[in-house]
Amino acid sequence: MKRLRRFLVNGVYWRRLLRWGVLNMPLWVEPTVLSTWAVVFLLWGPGRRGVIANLKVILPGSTAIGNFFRCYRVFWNFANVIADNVRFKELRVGPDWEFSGKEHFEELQSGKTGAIILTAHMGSYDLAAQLFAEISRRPLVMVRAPETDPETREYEEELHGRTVPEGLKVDFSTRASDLALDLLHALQRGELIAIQGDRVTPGITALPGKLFGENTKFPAGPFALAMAARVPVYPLFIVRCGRRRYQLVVGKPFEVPRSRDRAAAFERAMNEWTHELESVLRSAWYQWFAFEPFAEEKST
Amino acid sequence: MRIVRGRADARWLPSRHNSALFRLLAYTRLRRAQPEQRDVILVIDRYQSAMETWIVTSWMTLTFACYLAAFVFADWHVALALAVSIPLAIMLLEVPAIVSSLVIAPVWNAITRHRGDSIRVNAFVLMVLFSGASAYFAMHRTWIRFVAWQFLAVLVLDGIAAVIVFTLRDSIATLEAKVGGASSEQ
Repeated sequence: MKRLRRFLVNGVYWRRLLRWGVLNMPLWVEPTVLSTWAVVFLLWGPGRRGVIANLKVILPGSTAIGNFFRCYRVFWNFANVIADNVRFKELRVGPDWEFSGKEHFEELQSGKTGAIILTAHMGSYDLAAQLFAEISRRPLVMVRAPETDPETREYEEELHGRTVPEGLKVDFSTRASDLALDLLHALQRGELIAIQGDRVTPGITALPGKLFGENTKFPAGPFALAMAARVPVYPLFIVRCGRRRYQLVVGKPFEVPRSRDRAAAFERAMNEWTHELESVLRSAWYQWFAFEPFAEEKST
Repeated sequence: MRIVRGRADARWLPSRHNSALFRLLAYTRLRRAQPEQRDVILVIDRYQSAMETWIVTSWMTLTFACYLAAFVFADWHVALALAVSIPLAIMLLEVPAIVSSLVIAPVWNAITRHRGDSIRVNAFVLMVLFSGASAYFAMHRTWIRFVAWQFLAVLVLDGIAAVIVFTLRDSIATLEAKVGGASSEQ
């Protein structure tokens, strides 16, 4: 049974196969391989249905057949992103980068106080963090959800151990209470914390919010941390624009001020975040790797 | 990783291209390009050009599709055979690369004591296989000989381009140094 588990969607087999492909496939064969594998991903029912449900909300009036093909585009982008990520880790070859909101990015890089980088499951979170660690002198802590499969987790940790550059620390969001204190101290030391703020994983405290008019939940951690440490939150998105070409989109920073009415402060911050997230998702829906329906009614 | 910051025209650096033909084209384009200051970070890697990859992928896939149509579906109408062969070629193009990765690359790596990726070995094996297939189909009397001859002609052109690029190497290096002046070795 344990042997078979590695062939599940979250199993280690696919990670190893991808690594093998990146280290062996001639570059001009790669697009055909990835387009074939994106078709295979389409057979993954829950993921496909999740993406289609999300597309229906993001693009009102879109048809089921249209969303099926859009779903293929999401999977195609996903396949390219994970391949780019492995290539960077194994061969140290990264993509080209363009910037949008460069003034906020410069501010983030040159700031003296800590800050929270709030991002989404778009483009390659890992690639952007690695890029940031390489071009900036500021230490960055990347918080991510651990892999659910033990073998995959072991594999990813080994890979991270080998490839994470100096100045970048990866921490996992499972050890909630210890991690919160560690992150607070890091922020107070002037470090940057990168957290994904577009979906809640089990065991994480959540805040209610609205995305595209639908009720959903967002992780509470980044907002609570920003309030406790009195640091700004920078919305940052990574959009894949083409083969080996990404755009770093940095939104206007916002704060979560301490006040007597914490709920109102969180709500205001949540509105700022969802506004930024919606504007990026509207134009780059094909980049959002959320494979479960985000709207509460649909996910239940 | 070598990068160029703030110069969008660096996308035409010949060292961002793999084949000699594209390197030569990039060189001529770069000579005419005006400095383009933009907030970009461009990586210098021989496989970085999206345009080159897409053109070569399309060319190889279509050539392979034609060979499939001529060999596997020889009795069918050409249009129908091609319509079936194109999606089939997209799926099957990886098969020789997989076989080469499993059989030839490990042997080659053991002989040369090379550790790391096998991309270039497999690309070379595939190119040899394509050249062999083209030589075979070039002898046919049907329409497929034109496809085979165009493939061989492009290979010859690439060879000529390689000679030109070699003779221009100093000029290319000087031009690249000018554009990549801000490049950093990391």
